[in-house]
Amino acid sequence: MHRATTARLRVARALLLAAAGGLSAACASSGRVAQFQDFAAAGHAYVEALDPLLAEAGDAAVDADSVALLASREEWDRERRLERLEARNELLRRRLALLGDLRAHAGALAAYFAGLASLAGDDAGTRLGTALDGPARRVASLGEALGAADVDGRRVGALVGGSAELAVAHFRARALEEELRRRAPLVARQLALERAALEIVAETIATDLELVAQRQEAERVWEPWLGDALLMERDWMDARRRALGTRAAARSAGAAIAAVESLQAAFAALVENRSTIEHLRAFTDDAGRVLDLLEVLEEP
Amino acid sequence: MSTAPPDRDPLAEVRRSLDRLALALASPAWLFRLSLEDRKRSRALADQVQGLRLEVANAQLAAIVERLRAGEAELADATTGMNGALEGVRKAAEVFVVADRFLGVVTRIVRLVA
Repeated sequence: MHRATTARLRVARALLLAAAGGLSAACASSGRVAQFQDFAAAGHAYVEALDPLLAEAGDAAVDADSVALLASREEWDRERRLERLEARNELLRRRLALLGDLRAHAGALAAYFAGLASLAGDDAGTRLGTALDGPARRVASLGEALGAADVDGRRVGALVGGSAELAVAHFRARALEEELRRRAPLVARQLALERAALEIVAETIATDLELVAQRQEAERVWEPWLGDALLMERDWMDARRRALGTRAAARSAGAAIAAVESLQAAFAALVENRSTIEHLRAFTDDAGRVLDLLEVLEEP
Repeated sequence: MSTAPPDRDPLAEVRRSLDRLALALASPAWLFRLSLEDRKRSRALADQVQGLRLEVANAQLAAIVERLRAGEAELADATTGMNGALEGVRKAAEVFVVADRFLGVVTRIVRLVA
């Protein structure tokens, strides 16, 4: 029933943990570049969690529709059954295409977050660090050599003005600020649209999952309970637990809306240079609840 | 910066009402209180509601996807732009390598003067 692979969920969970881990480092340094790195990591984790959720939304929509069709099948003659199945298949094909579009858009957003991470030094930082390793070390030793020296009455140390790494970090921070200045409205708009889409997806998936669970509950719990046939107690207890558990889990789909709202708030804080550990912690908590739901649904 | 949704979609309440109706009509507690005939009617009605649920949510999603697509090209430009900025940072790093060499010369001069 569920296409969201365990491997994909594991990646999303790892990214979320990495984002949460980055928070402690950011807290320690509270640097501007670290704020960008944390936001980019959170954005990446969001996209990774979104993909299996959208896949699950497609499966749930088809299953809920099948349940409704099967429940009313006896009411229709052959001609009407033909019409109904055709019409509903068309609607579901459209739904799956729209969810596919949302997944494609998430890919574009992921590329943007990856670019932001590179610019913030998460990825390219390693390469730059390697390139700068030699020069930076030499500049550091130069500082010691020039410790007491003056040229035209000015300390040579003042001319060097710190290590090359620090200077490059300055360029990086400026590039990030420039990026933010130019693109903040676009990213804010995209996140707002993501939120609007996720509201529909999350609310719909919750209803779809519950409709399927209701049908299973009717067949496996209520009918045997109300009937006169011998009740297989162990099976009945298992079916009842599963049905009630799925219905409870379905209601937590709303965490997806909370996750994107937390990401929006984190972005607003980044733009206004007031990011705190709480902004991203709220996001990692909400996104974690989405992954919990998907893992529950993955269980056989 | 506002984080509010772009617009209030009037279809949202319609979709939620249909969701609530679908759940109520398929609720076992409701169904098993009905006569067999009424249960069939309830299930047929639930099926019609299901069709409407699909249509309304599709219409809402299509409107959002259209707007997301409009921003996708801009997002791609932004990503390309950042790659350009990253190149700028790399060039800055190269400048510092040159500066380091220059300062090496200055160090030797300073040592000679001292």
